[in-house]
Amino acid sequence: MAYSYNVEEVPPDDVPCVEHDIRRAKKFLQKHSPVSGDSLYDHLTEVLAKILAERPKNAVDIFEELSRRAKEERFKTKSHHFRDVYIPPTQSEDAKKIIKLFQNVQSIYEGEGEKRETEDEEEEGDTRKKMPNMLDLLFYFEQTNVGLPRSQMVLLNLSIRKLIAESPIENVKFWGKVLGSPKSYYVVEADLKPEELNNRLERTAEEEERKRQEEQMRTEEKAKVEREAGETVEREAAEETEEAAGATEKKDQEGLELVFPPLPTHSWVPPPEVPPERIGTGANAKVYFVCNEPGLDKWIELPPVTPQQIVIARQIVRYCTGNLETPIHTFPPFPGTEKNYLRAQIARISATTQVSPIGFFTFGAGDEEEELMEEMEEGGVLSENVHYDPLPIKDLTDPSMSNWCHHAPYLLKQGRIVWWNPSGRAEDELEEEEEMDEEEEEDAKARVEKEVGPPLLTPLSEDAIVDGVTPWRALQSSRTQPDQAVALIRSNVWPGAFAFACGKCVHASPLFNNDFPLSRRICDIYVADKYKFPLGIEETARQGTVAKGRFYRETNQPGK
Amino acid sequence: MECSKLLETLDIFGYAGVCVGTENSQLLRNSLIILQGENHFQKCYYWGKIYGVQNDYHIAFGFKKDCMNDQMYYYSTDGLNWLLLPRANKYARFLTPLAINKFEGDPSIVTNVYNVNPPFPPNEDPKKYYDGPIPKELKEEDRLAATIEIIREDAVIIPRGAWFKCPNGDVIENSNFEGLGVSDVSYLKSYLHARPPQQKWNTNLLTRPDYNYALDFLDTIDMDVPSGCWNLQLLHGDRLVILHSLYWPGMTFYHKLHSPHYGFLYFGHGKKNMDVIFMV
Repeated sequence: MAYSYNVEEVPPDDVPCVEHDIRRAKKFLQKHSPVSGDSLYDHLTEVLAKILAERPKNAVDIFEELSRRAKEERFKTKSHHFRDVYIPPTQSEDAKKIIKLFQNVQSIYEGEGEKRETEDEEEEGDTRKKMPNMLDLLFYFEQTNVGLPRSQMVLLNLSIRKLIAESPIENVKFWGKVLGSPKSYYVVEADLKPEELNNRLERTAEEEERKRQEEQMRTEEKAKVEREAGETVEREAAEETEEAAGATEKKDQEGLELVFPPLPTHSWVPPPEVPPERIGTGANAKVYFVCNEPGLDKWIELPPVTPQQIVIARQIVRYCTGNLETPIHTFPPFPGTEKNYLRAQIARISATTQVSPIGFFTFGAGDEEEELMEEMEEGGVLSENVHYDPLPIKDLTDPSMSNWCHHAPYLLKQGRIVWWNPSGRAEDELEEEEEMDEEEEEDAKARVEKEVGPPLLTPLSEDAIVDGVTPWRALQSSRTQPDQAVALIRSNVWPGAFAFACGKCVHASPLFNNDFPLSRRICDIYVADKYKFPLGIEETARQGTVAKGRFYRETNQPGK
Repeated sequence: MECSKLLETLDIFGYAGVCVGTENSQLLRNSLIILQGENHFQKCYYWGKIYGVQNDYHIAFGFKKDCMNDQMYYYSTDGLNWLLLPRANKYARFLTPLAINKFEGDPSIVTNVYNVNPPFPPNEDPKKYYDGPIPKELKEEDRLAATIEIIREDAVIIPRGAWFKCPNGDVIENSNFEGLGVSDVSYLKSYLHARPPQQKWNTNLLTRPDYNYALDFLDTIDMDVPSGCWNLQLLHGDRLVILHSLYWPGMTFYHKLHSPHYGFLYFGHGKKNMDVIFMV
């Protein structure tokens, strides 16, 4: 009697019944969506099960995200039909190349090791010294807040070794990195071996000879054509004058005379083209190799630079693309493609930012003072000073910058390092004349003023301040431990150019670069973004030093 | 970049030619943790460095709750003592782009910026162009504040999905952010300006088919003019993406693929490169 409790029995509407409500709600939740085929009930179960299993922090805040992800996963498994197709990791191609590089370098070394055993120990020391050690560099630069990517440095080291083994070069140095969009360049600087240099010079001489002959032929032909043309013109002119004479007679008769002013002629003559410097001298003293990814790409040698390219490169700003063949569309038009532009900028950067502590480099090995002076006049060969006495950190970071000097020759306005006389006379002749007749020499000077740059090893304190920008800034890696600190100097003109000195370890050249002045450079390496170069500021910056530099040189002899 | 990650800079920002040295990173990390504690910041970031003639400015910022609107900036010349950077006022915003000299390294220095580089045609009345009395003197601290604000507007970015807009309007860091995938990472529209949006609210939603109200509330950088002003590089075997702003040389952003790690550092002179249009 009591209550017959039948679940299936539908209660009257006005009596609340929990079970029935639950059942109704459940039914609603279990309804399948016609679009996706899922039901909310299953979905919630899945999400809640996942939350309970994974127990994320603050699950309520990210609930939407969890729910979305659960749906995404369901969708993924449904559409995943090709389970059996294996996709190799994207880097496997690169990995193969890098492994090959490791094997290559190892075999080079083993081969060399056998050879070396037979050679003198001294020589061995020499060759070893020539190998750049990027990890060493990384160690010092890291302290001074200049970054080199660690993984790349190992590969760079290996690929430089491979480059040395494959090409006829010596004195290899990591010059820096030029940031570009979308790819950057790593740049290596080297000297050609003497044999290769001679070969190349011979080849260029032959080519020049051939060109000259061709040109001669062409001019002769042209002259012939012109002569013929001239004859016909003369003949015609003669006929015309006869006619004209007849006409004037007629005009005279009519009493009308029209006088026209002569047609204007332009008197502009293009300035003589400055010849490029020979390979192995001046701005082309070194050769440069570039690649986008060390270890993966081959090193490509950049062509020699011409003065025209340097002059134009000072007037334009351009961001490198990472492809050497990209045409450069600028005004004034740049003669060449991106590789020529890159090479010109490298020449400009090297000339301005290769610096070293005073006394680190000296002129030649001349003992006598006279010889020394002579060599300095001629911009003689620099060599590392064996007796270099490391300067204390306090002196190296002195804001006057008088303890650092340039060790790269100045790049003249003309775009050359050795001045070329446009009046066509060789310098030797000029000098002879000087001796013969001073007055005449003055005349010559009045005609074309010789461009002179500051001498080598001029201290940085002599650099001019342009646009209120002091060209250098000295820094110290650590203020708390000055006895272990590394001295760093940073170029304000070419952002990205750094040089450091720590005891006997000196890195003297640019580094990371944006290829524009006010770009970034990495030390003896120039790390910078290849954005743009300063518009000839750096040259002006060094120019102010000419007169003062000479005085300095006479009073303070470095390396004496 | 988060102050606790500073030790990793060498491997990331080395590609751009900068890093924070080991000693410096320890110094900055600890001094920033103290700064974070003193200010009750939820997170504290190292922003970068502005080079000066005598001193460099280290910049740091943090936020309490809202990672977009609550940012507070601090600066320091030695990395030890941090000073609050004031908000840039209207005068500073007007004068900063005119300044052509370098930062000196002394925040109290006052220079006459206007006379060195007058912005208006000399024979016309400047009142026509500028409302109110024209300021001419600029304090370096104000210039620093304005420079940082301008850089933030132009060049500070985040990957899409890193910030999350809550229904109440607060912007928080998305703890669920898993990083961009290979398919998205090489497109500029996957990166957003980390500033209050300047376009209409629906512009950014309409530009993508898979929009999300909570994520797509910021401006994307693919709309920036000219189109080549961001330099995107995939490095380290496609595991790291680096973006350089060509307008602000020295601004580098990184993001590790498939990971919530991202950040930026600025190491530069604090000057905008106005030649970008001619360089790309």
